[in-house]
Amino acid sequence: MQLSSKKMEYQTLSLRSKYAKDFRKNWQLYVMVLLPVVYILIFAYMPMYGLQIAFRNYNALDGIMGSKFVGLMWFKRFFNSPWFWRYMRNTLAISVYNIALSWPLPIFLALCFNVVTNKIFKNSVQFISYLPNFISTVVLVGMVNVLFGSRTGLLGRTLEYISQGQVTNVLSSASAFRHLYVWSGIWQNVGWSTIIYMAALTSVSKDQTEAALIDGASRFQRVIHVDIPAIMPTMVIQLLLLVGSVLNVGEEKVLLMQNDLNLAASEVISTYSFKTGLLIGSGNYSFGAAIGFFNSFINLIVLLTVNKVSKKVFETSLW
Amino acid sequence: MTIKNRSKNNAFRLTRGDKLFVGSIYFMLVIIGLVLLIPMLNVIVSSFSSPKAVGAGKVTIFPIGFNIEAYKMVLANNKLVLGFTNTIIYTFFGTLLNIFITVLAAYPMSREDFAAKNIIMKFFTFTMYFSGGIIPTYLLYKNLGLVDSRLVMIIPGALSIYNMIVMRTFMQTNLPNEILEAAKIDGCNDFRFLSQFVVPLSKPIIAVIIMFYAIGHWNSYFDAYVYLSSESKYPLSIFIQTILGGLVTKGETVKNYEAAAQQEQYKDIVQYALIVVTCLPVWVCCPFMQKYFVQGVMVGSVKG
Repeated sequence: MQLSSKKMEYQTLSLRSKYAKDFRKNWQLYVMVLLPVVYILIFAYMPMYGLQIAFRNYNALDGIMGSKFVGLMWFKRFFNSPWFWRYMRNTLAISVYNIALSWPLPIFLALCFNVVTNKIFKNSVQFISYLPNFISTVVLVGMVNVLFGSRTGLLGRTLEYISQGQVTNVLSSASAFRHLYVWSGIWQNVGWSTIIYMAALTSVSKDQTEAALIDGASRFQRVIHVDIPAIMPTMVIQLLLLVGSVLNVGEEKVLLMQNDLNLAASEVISTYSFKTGLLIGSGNYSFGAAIGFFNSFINLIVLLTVNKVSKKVFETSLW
Repeated sequence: MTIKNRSKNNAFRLTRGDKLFVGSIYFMLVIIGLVLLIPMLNVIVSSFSSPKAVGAGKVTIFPIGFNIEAYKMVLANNKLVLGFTNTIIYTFFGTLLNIFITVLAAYPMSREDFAAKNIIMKFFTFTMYFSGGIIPTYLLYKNLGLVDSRLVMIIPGALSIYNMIVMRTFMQTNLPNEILEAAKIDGCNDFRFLSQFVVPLSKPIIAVIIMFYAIGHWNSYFDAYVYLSSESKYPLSIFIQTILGGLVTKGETVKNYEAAAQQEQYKDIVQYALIVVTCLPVWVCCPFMQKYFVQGVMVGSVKG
């Protein structure tokens, strides 16, 4: 009785007085969090505010608000340009290829690690698999360049040998770009990505394992019926994150791997936005911003959609 | 003790089919391990080999004609020394700022009794899923006077929301409420509680987050590429990029470098040596930090 009346009282308190009361009690927490909040406001939300130049004809003299409003002009120009579909196709091809590998492979590797009982063996393979994660993009691309150099590089030579001289100089081939981009990423991240699955696998209880053993499950059956269900929520979350960033092909690595000869396959929306906005000529800020906005907007929609679907189907979601 | 018994039990129960299965997993992991290891090994070994052997494509995983000429050249190059110095400066001050802001955000977010917690958390996490993109960001930095300033390598990215959530989750699970209540009774305010209890008790996670941030700074390239234009401010990554090649090179550094390297034939192994020199600081830390990194990622994977 007392409880419910208290609850009522709490609910009738307006939001404002709730925060006023909390501020009197916890003002020091507000002071602490002030700097991070202001920081995020400036460095994350100000650019979002600045995104309106995508709908304006921005020039530096008039500033963001003073520049002429042009509606969807830049978006139309982008959609009607002959490049739109090519860049869209390149982006999706790289991204889907990447998801198709970078989602299942860490799961597979983690399940393998989990089967291994020899600690020293397991730790050494894990250690080796983590190392590439700490290589910077610049150095990774440098490694791809030296290793796939057809004259001297180990992998370039190997490819040439295996294909009996058919495959030479993959670095300057447009058709090889996707493979190089995705597989170098896999090489770099596959080990590190196993960690969250390993964490989920530690939650497999002894009882479950023993129950499976009593039922006469083989080690393989235990992987299928005990281990995989244990990591299922993590698998769904990871897939959500990957699909939710389907158009986010990072411009840094693509720009680093790009050359005149592979441009047909390597130009993606994010690099095109960057180049249009900042590099080509003196840079068309508004057009570049519009392309970038299109990219992140589609991404957000996809993320919201898959998150909702996943909430319904798997009862797992990001938030 | 119990763990030992269990593994003995398991070993006892392994049928022939199980043995075959487990054996093939071991075999597969050996192959995967080699695939992951050989590129790194080949780079390291090539950097110590004679330029002739590397040029002829003979080096695989054993050095041929061992020498350290390439390293002498790398370390004698003024620009690389400049790059190293700049990168160390950016990494040091950047990480210092990172950890300061991250702790200030993470602790209030870990307090259950903080009424504004949820709304501020939403304010933070939204930025993980949507961003203004590179062009508006560039214009903002230009207005703030960050373009071609050393500060652009330190201030932007000072707060990674992901790292903040990892730290908050650690604080939520490792700082019992009783400590706070006891401290409150003794008249301890929140600022003092943060500095005298929270920070010391969170040392393990702070160390991990420091390493995450530091490696990020050490490896960062794109911001420098976009925002810095004077060579004296370039971090190591820019110089490396100009030497390791690619389309988007900046300035004339390549030619200068080749002049400094003098002998064209050393170009290949200098590239290999450069990769090793850049990765080495991080790889050396790795064995010691591995356990903590893994813990950090595991804390972060707890949904919250």
